Amino acid sequence: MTLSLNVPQLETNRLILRVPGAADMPAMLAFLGEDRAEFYGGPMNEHDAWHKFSAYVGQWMLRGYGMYSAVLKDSGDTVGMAGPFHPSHFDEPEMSWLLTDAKFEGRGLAAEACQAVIAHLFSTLGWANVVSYIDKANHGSRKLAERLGAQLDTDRPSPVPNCDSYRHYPQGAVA
Amino acid sequence: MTPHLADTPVLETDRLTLRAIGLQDVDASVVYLQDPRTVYMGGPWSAADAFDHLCSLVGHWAIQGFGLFAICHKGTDVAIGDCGLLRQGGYSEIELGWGIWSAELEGQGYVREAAEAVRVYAYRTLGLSTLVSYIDPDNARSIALAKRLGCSLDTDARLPDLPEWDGTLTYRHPGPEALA
Repeated sequence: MTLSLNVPQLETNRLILRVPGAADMPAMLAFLGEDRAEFYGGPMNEHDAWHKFSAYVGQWMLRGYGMYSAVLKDSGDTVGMAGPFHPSHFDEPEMSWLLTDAKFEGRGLAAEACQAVIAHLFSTLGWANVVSYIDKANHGSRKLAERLGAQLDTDRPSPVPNCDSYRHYPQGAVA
Repeated sequence: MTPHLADTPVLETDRLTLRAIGLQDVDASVVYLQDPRTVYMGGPWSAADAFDHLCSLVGHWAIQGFGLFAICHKGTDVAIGDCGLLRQGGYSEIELGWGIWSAELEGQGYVREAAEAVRVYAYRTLGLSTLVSYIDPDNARSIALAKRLGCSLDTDARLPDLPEWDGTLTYRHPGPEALA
Protein backbone atom coordinates (compact mmCIF):
# COMPACT_ATOMS: atom_id res chain seq x y z
CA MET A 1 0.00 0.00 0.00
CA THR A 2 1.30 3.45 -0.84
CA LEU A 3 -0.31 6.84 -0.49
CA SER A 4 -0.36 9.40 -3.24
CA LEU A 5 0.07 13.14 -3.15
CA ASN A 6 -2.40 15.49 -4.77
CA VAL A 7 0.05 17.02 -7.25
CA PRO A 8 -0.80 17.23 -10.97
CA GLN A 9 1.71 15.47 -13.19
CA LEU A 10 3.50 17.13 -16.10
CA GLU A 11 3.90 15.56 -19.50
CA THR A 12 6.42 15.93 -22.33
CA ASN A 13 6.81 14.06 -25.62
CA ARG A 14 8.55 11.11 -24.04
CA LEU A 15 8.13 11.58 -20.29
CA ILE A 16 5.64 11.68 -17.46
CA LEU A 17 6.85 13.85 -14.57
CA ARG A 18 5.18 12.95 -11.30
CA VAL A 19 5.74 13.12 -7.56
CA PRO A 20 8.28 10.40 -6.70
CA GLY A 21 7.24 7.35 -4.75
CA ALA A 22 7.74 3.66 -4.15
CA ALA A 23 7.87 2.84 -7.88
CA ASP A 24 10.98 5.00 -8.33
CA MET A 25 12.84 3.65 -5.33
CA PRO A 26 14.76 0.74 -6.94
CA ALA A 27 16.17 2.97 -9.69
CA MET A 28 17.01 5.77 -7.26
CA LEU A 29 18.64 3.54 -4.64
CA ALA A 30 20.74 1.93 -7.37
CA PHE A 31 21.76 5.36 -8.68
CA LEU A 32 22.71 6.71 -5.22
CA GLY A 33 24.90 3.67 -4.64
CA GLU A 34 27.00 4.32 -7.72
CA ASP A 35 29.94 6.57 -8.51
CA ARG A 36 27.68 8.49 -10.89
CA ALA A 37 26.00 9.95 -7.76
CA GLU A 38 29.18 11.78 -6.73
CA PHE A 39 27.54 15.21 -7.16
CA TYR A 40 24.53 14.10 -5.08
CA GLY A 41 26.44 13.04 -1.96
CA GLY A 42 27.09 9.52 -3.25
CA PRO A 43 28.04 6.82 -3.60
CA MET A 44 26.25 5.92 -0.38
CA ASN A 45 24.99 2.79 1.38
CA GLU A 46 21.39 1.58 1.19
CA HIS A 47 20.46 3.16 4.51
CA ASP A 48 21.68 6.63 3.52
CA ALA A 49 20.27 6.29 0.01
CA TRP A 50 16.86 5.47 1.43
CA HIS A 51 16.98 8.56 3.64
CA LYS A 52 18.07 10.76 0.74
CA PHE A 53 15.37 9.52 -1.59
CA SER A 54 12.61 9.61 1.05
CA ALA A 55 13.68 13.18 1.88
CA TYR A 56 13.19 14.12 -1.79
CA VAL A 57 9.67 12.70 -1.48
CA GLY A 58 8.90 14.32 1.88
CA GLN A 59 10.12 17.75 0.74
CA TRP A 60 6.96 17.96 -1.37
CA MET A 61 4.82 17.96 1.77
CA LEU A 62 7.00 20.33 3.78
CA ARG A 63 7.78 22.84 1.00
CA GLY A 64 4.87 22.41 -1.38
CA TYR A 65 7.24 21.75 -4.29
CA GLY A 66 10.00 19.31 -5.03
CA MET A 67 11.77 17.10 -7.50
CA TYR A 68 9.62 15.12 -9.92
CA SER A 69 10.49 11.64 -11.03
CA ALA A 70 10.82 11.39 -14.81
CA VAL A 71 9.31 8.22 -16.21
CA LEU A 72 9.54 7.09 -19.83
CA LYS A 73 6.06 6.79 -21.29
CA ASP A 74 6.85 3.77 -23.43
CA SER A 75 8.65 1.59 -20.86
CA GLY A 76 7.70 2.98 -17.45
CA ASP A 77 11.40 3.24 -16.55
CA THR A 78 12.34 5.90 -13.99
CA VAL A 79 15.04 7.67 -16.00
CA GLY A 80 15.76 10.42 -13.49
CA MET A 81 14.51 13.25 -11.33
CA ALA A 82 14.19 16.97 -11.98
CA GLY A 83 12.82 19.85 -9.95
CA PRO A 84 13.43 22.33 -7.15
CA PHE A 85 15.45 20.81 -4.30
CA HIS A 86 15.30 22.85 -1.10
CA PRO A 87 17.13 21.64 2.02
CA SER A 88 17.08 24.02 4.98
CA HIS A 89 20.60 25.38 4.43
CA PHE A 90 19.69 26.75 0.96
CA ASP A 91 18.25 30.28 0.98
CA GLU A 92 16.26 29.48 -2.13
CA PRO A 93 15.08 26.38 -3.99
CA GLU A 94 17.59 24.89 -6.39
CA MET A 95 16.59 23.49 -9.77
CA SER A 96 18.29 20.09 -9.71
CA TRP A 97 18.31 17.10 -12.05
CA LEU A 98 19.82 13.66 -12.43
CA LEU A 99 19.62 10.60 -14.67
CA THR A 100 19.42 7.30 -12.80
CA ASP A 101 21.54 5.29 -15.24
CA ALA A 102 24.26 6.02 -17.82
CA LYS A 103 22.13 4.28 -20.45
CA PHE A 104 19.68 7.21 -20.32
CA GLU A 105 22.39 9.79 -21.04
CA GLY A 106 22.84 11.44 -24.43
CA ARG A 107 19.17 11.25 -25.45
CA GLY A 108 18.08 14.71 -24.32
CA LEU A 109 15.90 13.27 -21.57
CA ALA A 110 17.28 15.51 -18.79
CA ALA A 111 16.79 18.58 -20.98
CA GLU A 112 13.24 17.52 -21.82
CA ALA A 113 12.39 17.02 -18.14
CA CYS A 114 14.05 20.26 -17.02
CA GLN A 115 12.38 22.38 -19.71
CA ALA A 116 8.96 21.12 -18.63
CA VAL A 117 9.61 21.64 -14.92
CA ILE A 118 11.16 25.10 -15.37
CA ALA A 119 8.27 26.19 -17.59
CA HIS A 120 5.88 25.01 -14.86
CA LEU A 121 7.77 26.95 -12.16
CA PHE A 122 7.58 30.16 -14.19
CA SER A 123 4.16 29.94 -15.82
CA THR A 124 2.08 28.08 -13.22
CA LEU A 125 3.83 28.84 -9.94
CA GLY A 126 4.90 32.32 -11.03
CA TRP A 127 8.53 32.08 -9.94
CA ALA A 128 10.63 34.97 -11.28
CA ASN A 129 13.80 32.86 -11.66
CA VAL A 130 15.44 29.76 -10.24
CA VAL A 131 19.05 28.83 -9.58
CA SER A 132 21.04 25.64 -10.23
CA TYR A 133 24.21 24.92 -8.24
CA ILE A 134 26.62 23.00 -10.46
CA ASP A 135 29.91 21.47 -9.42
CA LYS A 136 32.87 22.84 -11.36
CA ALA A 137 33.76 19.22 -12.27
CA ASN A 138 30.25 18.30 -13.44
CA HIS A 139 30.74 19.06 -17.13
CA GLY A 140 27.56 17.29 -18.24
CA SER A 141 25.31 19.37 -15.99
CA ARG A 142 27.16 22.57 -16.87
CA LYS A 143 26.52 21.94 -20.56
CA LEU A 144 22.89 21.23 -19.87
CA ALA A 145 22.47 24.43 -17.83
CA GLU A 146 23.88 26.42 -20.74
CA ARG A 147 21.65 24.58 -23.18
CA LEU A 148 18.67 25.47 -20.97
CA GLY A 149 19.67 29.13 -21.25
CA ALA A 150 20.80 29.55 -17.63
CA GLN A 151 23.33 32.30 -16.93
CA LEU A 152 26.27 32.24 -14.56
CA ASP A 153 25.23 34.26 -11.46
CA THR A 154 28.31 35.55 -9.67
CA ASP A 155 26.24 37.87 -7.41
CA ARG A 156 24.70 35.03 -5.43
CA PRO A 157 27.38 32.37 -4.93
CA SER A 158 26.46 28.76 -4.27
CA PRO A 159 26.22 27.55 -0.65
CA VAL A 160 27.59 24.23 -1.93
CA PRO A 161 31.40 24.11 -2.00
CA ASN A 162 33.05 24.01 -5.43
CA CYS A 163 29.78 24.86 -7.20
CA ASP A 164 28.81 27.76 -9.46
CA SER A 165 25.35 29.36 -9.50
CA TYR A 166 23.54 29.20 -12.81
CA ARG A 167 20.29 31.16 -12.91
CA HIS A 168 17.33 30.35 -15.15
CA TYR A 169 14.91 33.12 -16.23
CA PRO A 170 11.62 32.97 -18.09
CA GLN A 171 12.05 33.26 -21.83
CA GLY A 172 12.30 36.86 -22.91
CA ALA A 173 13.00 38.12 -19.39
CA VAL A 174 16.02 40.36 -18.95
CA ALA A 175 18.51 39.13 -16.38
CA MET B 1 -2.23 24.53 -1.35
CA THR B 2 0.56 22.38 0.05
CA PRO B 3 0.47 18.85 -1.29
CA HIS B 4 -0.71 16.43 1.33
CA LEU B 5 -1.41 12.75 1.68
CA ALA B 6 -5.06 11.86 1.67
CA ASP B 7 -6.44 9.26 4.04
CA THR B 8 -3.62 8.91 6.55
CA PRO B 9 -5.01 7.22 9.67
CA VAL B 10 -5.83 8.96 12.95
CA LEU B 11 -5.69 6.86 16.13
CA GLU B 12 -7.33 7.80 19.43
CA THR B 13 -6.44 6.63 22.93
CA ASP B 14 -7.74 7.78 26.32
CA ARG B 15 -5.44 10.78 26.47
CA LEU B 16 -3.92 11.05 22.98
CA THR B 17 -4.55 11.60 19.31
CA LEU B 18 -2.05 10.13 16.86
CA ARG B 19 -1.88 11.50 13.30
CA ALA B 20 0.74 11.34 10.55
CA ILE B 21 3.80 13.47 11.20
CA GLY B 22 3.85 16.41 8.80
CA LEU B 23 4.13 20.08 8.01
CA GLN B 24 2.67 21.28 11.33
CA ASP B 25 5.51 19.48 13.17
CA VAL B 26 8.50 21.15 11.48
CA ASP B 27 9.43 23.56 14.29
CA ALA B 28 9.03 21.18 17.23
CA SER B 29 10.55 18.23 15.41
CA VAL B 30 13.62 20.10 14.20
CA VAL B 31 14.26 21.22 17.80
CA TYR B 32 13.82 17.67 19.11
CA LEU B 33 16.09 16.14 16.47
CA GLN B 34 18.93 18.40 17.68
CA ASP B 35 18.39 17.27 21.29
CA PRO B 36 21.14 15.03 22.73
CA ARG B 37 18.29 12.73 23.86
CA THR B 38 18.10 11.50 20.21
CA VAL B 39 21.52 9.85 20.53
CA TYR B 40 19.98 6.36 20.53
CA MET B 41 18.15 6.91 17.24
CA GLY B 42 21.00 8.22 15.09
CA GLY B 43 20.98 11.82 16.42
CA PRO B 44 21.52 14.48 17.43
CA TRP B 45 21.27 16.09 14.02
CA SER B 46 22.44 19.58 12.97
CA ALA B 47 19.61 22.01 12.19
CA ALA B 48 20.10 21.41 8.45
CA ASP B 49 20.22 17.64 8.80
CA ALA B 50 17.22 17.69 11.14
CA PHE B 51 15.05 19.22 8.42
CA ASP B 52 16.29 16.62 5.91
CA HIS B 53 15.54 13.88 8.43
CA LEU B 54 12.01 15.16 8.94
CA CYS B 55 11.56 15.26 5.12
CA SER B 56 12.59 11.61 5.10
CA LEU B 57 10.13 10.68 7.86
CA VAL B 58 7.30 12.47 6.05
CA GLY B 59 8.30 10.87 2.73
CA HIS B 60 8.18 7.47 4.45
CA TRP B 61 4.38 7.71 4.56
CA ALA B 62 4.16 8.29 0.81
CA ILE B 63 6.58 5.48 -0.03
CA GLN B 64 5.48 2.77 2.39
CA GLY B 65 1.88 3.73 3.12
CA PHE B 66 2.64 3.82 6.84
CA GLY B 67 5.01 5.80 8.99
CA LEU B 68 5.50 7.79 12.16
CA PHE B 69 2.57 9.34 13.97
CA ALA B 70 2.84 12.58 15.88
CA ILE B 71 1.59 12.04 19.43
CA CYS B 72 -0.71 14.91 20.48
CA HIS B 73 -2.73 15.49 23.63
CA LYS B 74 -6.35 14.86 22.73
CA GLY B 75 -8.00 18.02 21.54
CA THR B 76 -4.73 19.61 20.39
CA ASP B 77 -2.63 19.32 17.25
CA VAL B 78 0.69 19.96 19.01
CA ALA B 79 3.08 17.03 18.88
CA ILE B 80 4.71 15.94 22.14
CA GLY B 81 6.39 12.89 20.64
CA ASP B 82 6.31 10.35 17.86
CA CYS B 83 5.42 6.71 17.56
CA GLY B 84 4.91 4.61 14.48
CA LEU B 85 5.95 2.04 11.94
CA LEU B 86 9.21 2.24 10.05
CA ARG B 87 10.72 0.25 7.23
CA GLN B 88 13.76 2.16 6.03
CA GLY B 89 16.77 1.26 3.92
CA GLY B 90 18.31 -2.07 4.87
CA TYR B 91 15.42 -3.13 7.15
CA SER B 92 14.22 -6.68 6.66
CA GLU B 93 11.04 -6.15 8.69
CA ILE B 94 8.86 -3.41 10.14
CA GLU B 95 9.87 -1.59 13.30
CA LEU B 96 7.67 0.01 15.94
CA GLY B 97 9.61 3.13 16.95
CA TRP B 98 8.96 5.92 19.42
CA GLY B 99 10.32 9.09 21.00
CA ILE B 100 9.05 11.68 23.48
CA TRP B 101 10.12 15.16 22.46
CA SER B 102 10.95 16.68 25.85
CA ALA B 103 12.37 15.18 29.03
CA GLU B 104 9.61 16.79 31.14
CA LEU B 105 7.02 14.62 29.42
CA GLU B 106 8.81 11.35 30.16
CA GLY B 107 7.48 8.96 32.77
CA GLN B 108 3.78 9.63 32.21
CA GLY B 109 3.03 6.60 30.08
CA TYR B 110 2.34 8.54 26.90
CA VAL B 111 4.62 6.48 24.69
CA ARG B 112 3.29 3.22 26.07
CA GLU B 113 -0.27 4.36 25.41
CA ALA B 114 0.68 5.40 21.86
CA ALA B 115 2.69 2.24 21.14
CA GLU B 116 -0.17 -0.01 22.21
CA ALA B 117 -2.53 1.84 19.87
CA VAL B 118 -0.08 1.68 16.95
CA ARG B 119 0.44 -2.02 17.55
CA VAL B 120 -3.28 -2.72 17.42
CA TYR B 121 -3.49 -0.65 14.22
CA ALA B 122 -0.56 -2.55 12.69
CA TYR B 123 -2.08 -5.95 13.43
CA ARG B 124 -5.80 -5.29 12.90
CA THR B 125 -5.82 -2.72 10.10
CA LEU B 126 -2.58 -3.39 8.23
CA GLY B 127 -2.67 -7.12 8.92
CA LEU B 128 0.95 -7.35 10.04
CA SER B 129 1.87 -10.55 11.85
CA THR B 130 4.92 -9.37 13.81
CA LEU B 131 6.75 -6.22 14.89
CA VAL B 132 10.17 -5.46 16.31
CA SER B 133 11.72 -2.51 18.12
CA TYR B 134 15.43 -1.89 17.54
CA ILE B 135 16.97 -0.49 20.73
CA ASP B 136 20.47 0.65 21.65
CA PRO B 137 21.77 -1.47 24.56
CA ASP B 138 22.46 1.74 26.54
CA ASN B 139 18.91 3.02 26.13
CA ALA B 140 17.57 1.79 29.45
CA ARG B 141 14.29 3.74 29.25
CA SER B 142 13.32 2.20 25.91
CA ILE B 143 14.36 -1.28 27.00
CA ALA B 144 12.17 -0.93 30.10
CA LEU B 145 9.27 0.21 27.94
CA ALA B 146 9.75 -2.67 25.48
CA LYS B 147 9.54 -5.08 28.42
CA ARG B 148 6.41 -3.39 29.75
CA LEU B 149 4.94 -3.81 26.25
CA GLY B 150 5.56 -7.55 26.55
CA CYS B 151 8.50 -7.69 24.13
CA SER B 152 11.23 -10.29 24.33
CA LEU B 153 14.78 -10.13 23.11
CA ASP B 154 15.19 -11.79 19.68
CA THR B 155 18.81 -12.67 19.11
CA ASP B 156 18.08 -14.30 15.71
CA ALA B 157 16.57 -11.20 14.10
CA ARG B 158 18.37 -9.70 11.09
CA LEU B 159 19.65 -6.16 11.53
CA PRO B 160 20.52 -3.76 8.72
CA ASP B 161 23.98 -4.79 7.55
CA LEU B 162 25.83 -1.63 8.60
CA PRO B 163 28.61 -1.05 11.14
CA GLU B 164 26.64 1.54 13.14
CA TRP B 165 23.95 -1.09 13.80
CA ASP B 166 26.40 -3.49 15.48
CA GLY B 167 25.23 -4.32 19.00
CA THR B 168 21.69 -2.99 18.48
CA LEU B 169 19.14 -5.12 20.33
CA THR B 170 15.99 -6.43 18.66
CA TYR B 171 12.94 -6.66 20.91
CA ARG B 172 10.10 -8.62 19.36
CA HIS B 173 6.54 -7.64 20.24
CA PRO B 174 3.83 -10.10 21.16
CA GLY B 175 1.98 -11.11 17.98
CA PRO B 176 -1.66 -10.48 17.10
CA GLU B 177 -2.84 -13.71 18.76
CA ALA B 178 -1.12 -12.94 22.04
CA LEU B 179 -2.77 -9.51 22.16
CA ALA B 180 -6.24 -10.66 21.07
